[in-house]
Amino acid sequence: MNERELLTRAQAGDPVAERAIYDTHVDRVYRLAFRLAGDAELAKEFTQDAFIRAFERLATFRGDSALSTWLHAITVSVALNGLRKVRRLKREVQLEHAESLGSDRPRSDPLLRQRLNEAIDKLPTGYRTVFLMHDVQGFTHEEIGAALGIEVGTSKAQLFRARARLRERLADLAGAWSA
Amino acid sequence: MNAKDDDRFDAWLKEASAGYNALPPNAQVPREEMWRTIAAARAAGRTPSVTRLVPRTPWALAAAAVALLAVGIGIGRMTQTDQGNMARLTAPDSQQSATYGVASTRHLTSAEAFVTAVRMSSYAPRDTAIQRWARELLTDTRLLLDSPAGEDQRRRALLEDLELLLVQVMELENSRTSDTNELLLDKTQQDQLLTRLRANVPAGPPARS
Repeated sequence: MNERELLTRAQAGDPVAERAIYDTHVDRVYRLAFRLAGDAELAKEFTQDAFIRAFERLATFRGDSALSTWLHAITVSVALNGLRKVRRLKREVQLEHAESLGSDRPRSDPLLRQRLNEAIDKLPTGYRTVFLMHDVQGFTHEEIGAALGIEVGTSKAQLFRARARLRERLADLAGAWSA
Repeated sequence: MNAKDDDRFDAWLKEASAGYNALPPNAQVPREEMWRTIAAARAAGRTPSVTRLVPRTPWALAAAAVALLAVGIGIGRMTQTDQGNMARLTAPDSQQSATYGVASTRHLTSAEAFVTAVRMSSYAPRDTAIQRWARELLTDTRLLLDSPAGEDQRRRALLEDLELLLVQVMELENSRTSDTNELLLDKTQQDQLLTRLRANVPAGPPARS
């Protein structure tokens, strides 16, 4: 069954189709939520909330954008709203992971990573979201524009400014990447 | 830093940031656990935590309008009794303000979801779901404009702009060409409104299962 058929059935309230849509998209939605939240519990909450919202309003989805784009838009909206309230990012899991990667990535030592992570955390929300979606998660500017409700040009500009801000904040570590 | 350094930095950044908030290699996406919560919420007919995103039925709309009016009337009566008691007068004022504040926030949250939906879809005329939703929001918007919630100048300006967009969306009922749609639904207008709505909606906690 293709996505269009699944969607039609889910819009008619078929729980099997809803589950199929969930299975297809949940991994990427969860990973996106985790990137934004940096916390497994929050990522779980955001993912659940995103799918509940999505299924509630599936009837209004017209298929003008891809279903995945639409789901990511809801996920980002849910996550940013949640994070605005939570105002904290748990980093322990990520830091442990960063250290485990250090051995086969000599230019990304833990201290440098920590500085980078702190610099990313300090980015304004808009810059940070675009940076994470584009450079880390691999979304295109078109997908980001659709997800955040901004123009493609705005997405590009925010990415440019995010990188510039990071470059500025990590200027004293220039040797680490220019070596 | 020269252009070559910039390129080198961007390449390094992309590689190094891959570990930022990454799932640990052995981590599993808790698919089944999340699905159980989602399915339970769907079965219980729970609405999302931030806002109810599906258009309500006319009955629900009428009930909401009546409830909003009842709250307003109740608060009005409270503020008019015991006028000689200054201590008791101050409490209803703050209560009134808080109540309308909550009502406004709920409404603006719904409006944010609506504008996002409109912003994402280049829908055709006679999209009945969207237009039903617009009609519902328009009723509440006008109720709020006529209530004490509309006395705040900033909020009033926002509600008036929202009202304009909602009226435009409803105008589409009589429109049949995409050209007309584009004229009516100015993306810039939506963007600006969305930004202002987001700025006026305090963040809420995520849904707890």
